[in-house]
Amino acid sequence: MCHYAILVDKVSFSYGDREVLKELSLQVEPGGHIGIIGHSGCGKSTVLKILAGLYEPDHGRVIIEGESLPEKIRRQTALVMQRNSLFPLSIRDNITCGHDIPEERIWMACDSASLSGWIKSLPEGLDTNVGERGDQVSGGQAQRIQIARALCKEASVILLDEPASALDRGTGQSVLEALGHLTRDKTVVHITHHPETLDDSYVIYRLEGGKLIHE
Amino acid sequence: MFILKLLKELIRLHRFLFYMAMFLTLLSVGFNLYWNSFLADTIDLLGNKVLSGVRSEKTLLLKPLAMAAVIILIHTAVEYLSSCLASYTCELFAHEMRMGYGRFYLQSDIRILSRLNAGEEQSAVQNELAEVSAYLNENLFSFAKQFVSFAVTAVFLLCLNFRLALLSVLPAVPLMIYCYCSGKVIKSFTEQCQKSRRQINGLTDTLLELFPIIQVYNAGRLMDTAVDNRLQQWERANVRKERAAARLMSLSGLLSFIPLLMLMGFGGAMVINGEISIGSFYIFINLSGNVSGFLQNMPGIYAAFRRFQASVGRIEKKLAGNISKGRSHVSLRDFGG
Amino acid sequence: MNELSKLMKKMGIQRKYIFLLLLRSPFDALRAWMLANLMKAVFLCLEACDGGRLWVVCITYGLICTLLFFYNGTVWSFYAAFSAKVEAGLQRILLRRLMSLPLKQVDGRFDAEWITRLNSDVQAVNMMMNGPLNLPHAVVSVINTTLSSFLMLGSSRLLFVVAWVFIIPHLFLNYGVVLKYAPKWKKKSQRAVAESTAAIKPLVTEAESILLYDAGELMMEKYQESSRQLMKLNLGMQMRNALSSAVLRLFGCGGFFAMLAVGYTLVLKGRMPLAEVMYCLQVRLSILTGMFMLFSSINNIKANSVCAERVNNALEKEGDYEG
Repeated sequence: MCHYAILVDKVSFSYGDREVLKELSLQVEPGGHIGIIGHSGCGKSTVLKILAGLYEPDHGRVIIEGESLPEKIRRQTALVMQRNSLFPLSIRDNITCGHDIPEERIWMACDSASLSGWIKSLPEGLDTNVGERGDQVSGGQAQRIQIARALCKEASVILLDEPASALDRGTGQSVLEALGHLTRDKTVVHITHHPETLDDSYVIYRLEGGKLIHE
Repeated sequence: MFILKLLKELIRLHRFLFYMAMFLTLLSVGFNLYWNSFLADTIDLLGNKVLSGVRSEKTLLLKPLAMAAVIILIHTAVEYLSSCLASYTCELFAHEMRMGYGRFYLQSDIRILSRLNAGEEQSAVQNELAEVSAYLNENLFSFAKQFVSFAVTAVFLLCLNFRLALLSVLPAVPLMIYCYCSGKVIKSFTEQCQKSRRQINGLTDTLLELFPIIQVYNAGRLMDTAVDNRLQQWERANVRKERAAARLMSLSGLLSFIPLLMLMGFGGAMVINGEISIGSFYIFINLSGNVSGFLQNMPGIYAAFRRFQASVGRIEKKLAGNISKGRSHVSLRDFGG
Repeated sequence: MNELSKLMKKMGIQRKYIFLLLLRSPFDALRAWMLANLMKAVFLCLEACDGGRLWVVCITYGLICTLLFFYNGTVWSFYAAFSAKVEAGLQRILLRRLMSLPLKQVDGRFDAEWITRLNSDVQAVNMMMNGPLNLPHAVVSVINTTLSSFLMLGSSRLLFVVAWVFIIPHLFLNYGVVLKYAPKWKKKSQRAVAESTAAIKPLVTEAESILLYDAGELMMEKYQESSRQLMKLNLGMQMRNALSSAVLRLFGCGGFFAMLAVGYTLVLKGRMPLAEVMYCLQVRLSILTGMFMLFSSINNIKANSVCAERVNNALEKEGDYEG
């Protein structure tokens, strides 16, 4: 029985002829926080997609919370992305993703993501449509909705892909605070270009030449 | 009217090519008429021999046969040249429009661009711009040809026999009014349809962008419902449009049959009364297609034009002024021509 | 055709489609038959100098025409609604298939390429099933040509032979010049459309970088290149179409004159009345229309079947939507 929350064992992955990851290995204990840094195009997002069960590695194995099948891995993970990743539907749909989630849990997630005040001020509340590509909400609110979505999923592994990098400093700071609620007691993999935004709980790795090097 | 401005801009960029293509198109129409007039003479020549009871005259057909061969060969060559040049001109126009579209983005304010949905913009390039280009390709010279055929044939028939020409053309007037009204109905249905279509393209782009999120959060069912809702809207609009077009165009087909029947009845009576020759009567039947056929196609031509107008309307802002800002350097050598 | 048949079976619409197609198919043949007979009847009246009968003929055919168009309008209306539903159904199926693909496959193409593919595939399959000069017109034209050929054969074997002597080389030339190459050109053109569409995306999404690094000219050059490639491919096909329309003049006018000449020879020899020659010329017109319709339809079906094959592959192989 694997006691790691995340176990990546000699994983290789390529896009056609271009090999991006070469026998990459990583172990993270339950509740462990790791940060991955590296230059653009080095394969950071690919690592995240493999950890999320979105890509299957060409070689090697990935076990997340004891699961190795991509569909089961996806159940264990939550993902917060850099871009505005909202569906052109209501705030409620964006948070629940169409699943039957009790109202209290939605509001708890909204509280933790510092969304409640703003949602209550809207005439249609949770049923407000965020518009095409979320163009009816600000960048900060969009990221908070993503955080609330991840909170509602109650996944044990949180994957973050530069969630605050596209925001201004003030908004970015408040989003990082909201992220603190999301990542508490969870296993976290955080991809960033700004390691200074990560607190002391994070172990930093650099992705270089398709392998992770401890910083 | 922006369509005219747009055409003017395009023609200004490739003036010689356009006028040359138009000249050859008109020349082709001229040859077609000349061929028909030659046929009328031949039918009369042969018909007179039949009516006068001549039963064998071996040399009778030699001269018309030689003449026919020459006319057909020249007509074929003109047709080929005019089609080639027309296609080349239209493709060049389409290219200029695409480049104008590109120039618009390049010169736009970043604040405007950041509000645009790349998927919807690409969809516009693919749908509206492609529709405008396709329309020009299929209709610009072809419509000119049909219209000139229609006008010149009408004049030709009026000269041949004024009364019969009026009788075969006049019933087409209510048909034209009908075409105008039905075109309006079809246009409104088409616009609704295109609006739904654009929304579906926007949603598809969102689906592709958010693919990882959909998989991680198992949101397939949610997106399925969203897709279904939009598809249903589009389906309803599409069914309404297609039904209306089918009924309206079928009725116009029936109405366009009336001029032919009038021609048969009155023209036949004139032949019996000796007012016109049998050759002229046959050519009337043959050429009235140029007139009534044009009118019969009117709902289609009109609906296509309205669609074209709607598509141009949607890309008007992006094309206005941007085509004239640069002329693409394309030569026949690029196409091995 | 095979691909379309498979696709319809999968969608469960084969029976309804065939039923509607059969209802629609006799219209052109009946119209052609009616026109040829109208012509013959009118010329018989002229030869007999019977003005009274001429009007009875015109009114009778006017009534038949009304019934025929009423029938056509009704069937067409059902058919059009069916076609719109099929299009929406196809779009739904393909979008679902797209959503079930692995991310790696989705990431393997530009978003624009997927959108192009979805739109063009759906439209192409729908066109093939319901569009003008596609399968419905192919069926209509086969019926029309067959009936017209029998009508002419019944009237004069010699004129039947003369008509086909001009039609056959025309058809072969048309096949050699256009039909054979149509699917290949269509495929190339589709790829060029997708590339040109993809080339415009950076102008919208990367506007800041373009402005910052003054990369406007470079991006426009790239876009121009893709647009020119598209133009070049489209033009290649247009040139072949131009040759095809020139050949139409050559054999169309040539065939007409040859039939007229032979017809008159028969009239001069007293082997046929003038009305019968006019009847045969009218029937020849409907054979020609039918054959061109058939060949254009086959041409379009061939070009569109590339998309139908891809849609079928998408439905057959789990997770595959490659072309």
